[in-house]
Amino acid sequence: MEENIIDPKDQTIDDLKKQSDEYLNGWKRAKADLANFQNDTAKERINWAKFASAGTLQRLLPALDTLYAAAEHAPGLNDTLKKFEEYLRGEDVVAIDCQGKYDPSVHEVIGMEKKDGAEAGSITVVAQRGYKLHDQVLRPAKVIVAE
Amino acid sequence: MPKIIGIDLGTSNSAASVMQGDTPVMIPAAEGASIGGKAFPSYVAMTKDGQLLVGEPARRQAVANPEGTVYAAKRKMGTSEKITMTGKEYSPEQISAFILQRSSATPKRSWANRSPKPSSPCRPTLTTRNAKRRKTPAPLPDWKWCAS
Repeated sequence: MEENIIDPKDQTIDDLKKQSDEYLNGWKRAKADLANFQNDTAKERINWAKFASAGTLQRLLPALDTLYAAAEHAPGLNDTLKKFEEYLRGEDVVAIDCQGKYDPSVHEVIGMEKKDGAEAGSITVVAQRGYKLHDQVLRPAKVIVAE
Repeated sequence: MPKIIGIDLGTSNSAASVMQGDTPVMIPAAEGASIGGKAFPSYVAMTKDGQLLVGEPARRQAVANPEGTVYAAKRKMGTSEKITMTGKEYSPEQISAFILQRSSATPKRSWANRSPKPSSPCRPTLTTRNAKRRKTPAPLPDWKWCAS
């Protein structure tokens, strides 16, 4: 009978040990979370710097589309177009290739048409040019594909 | 310790977010921001080659592949209606499962080696008028690959 009686001091020590383990685990978890947060923030900062101009470039693209359309009727605008293209190349903005079959990761299909001799799914018309910034899609190309 | 992600499985767009300290942070979709912001459209498509597409790529090829593309499948959840994609039948829950898997896959890439554990997704809010709600919810896909 006496062996079954728990000394109150032992009980307190057990409780305190459990509490201390809980605090230690909580602290270790918080420390690991902080380390992970610091790593993630460092990676995010690099990404922010890399894609900081993405918003501005996206807003410039409609103007570039208008310039391309105007240059078809006014050849004098070709020099301006070349300077614009040179600036975009400097920012690592490249036009999306629209040859061959469409790729949903870079092309957006807006219509289909019948075209003799064209393979099904091949791009027949580029309605709007698409661009990539640092290998990420800035704007997908809008295309019409063959049925 | 695995991180918990919150997934918003929406009728038109879906998204995932994770707690950073006390603040929830939305995880941008792998394809970058779409019209819905950091969310991605709730589109699922099966190409003729058997490739499964979810999100923005599925939406972009919807016009070229209408019989293989599904959207707003969440509206059919709770019904016994089957959805056909390139000749194969799927339940609305299976379609939603593809979207949930896509939501979970994005944070797994950005938080390398820290497998996320998904929390319960939101309940359907917009359903067809005659949809009968199940008394017990349909089982979610097997999350074993998400366990740490």
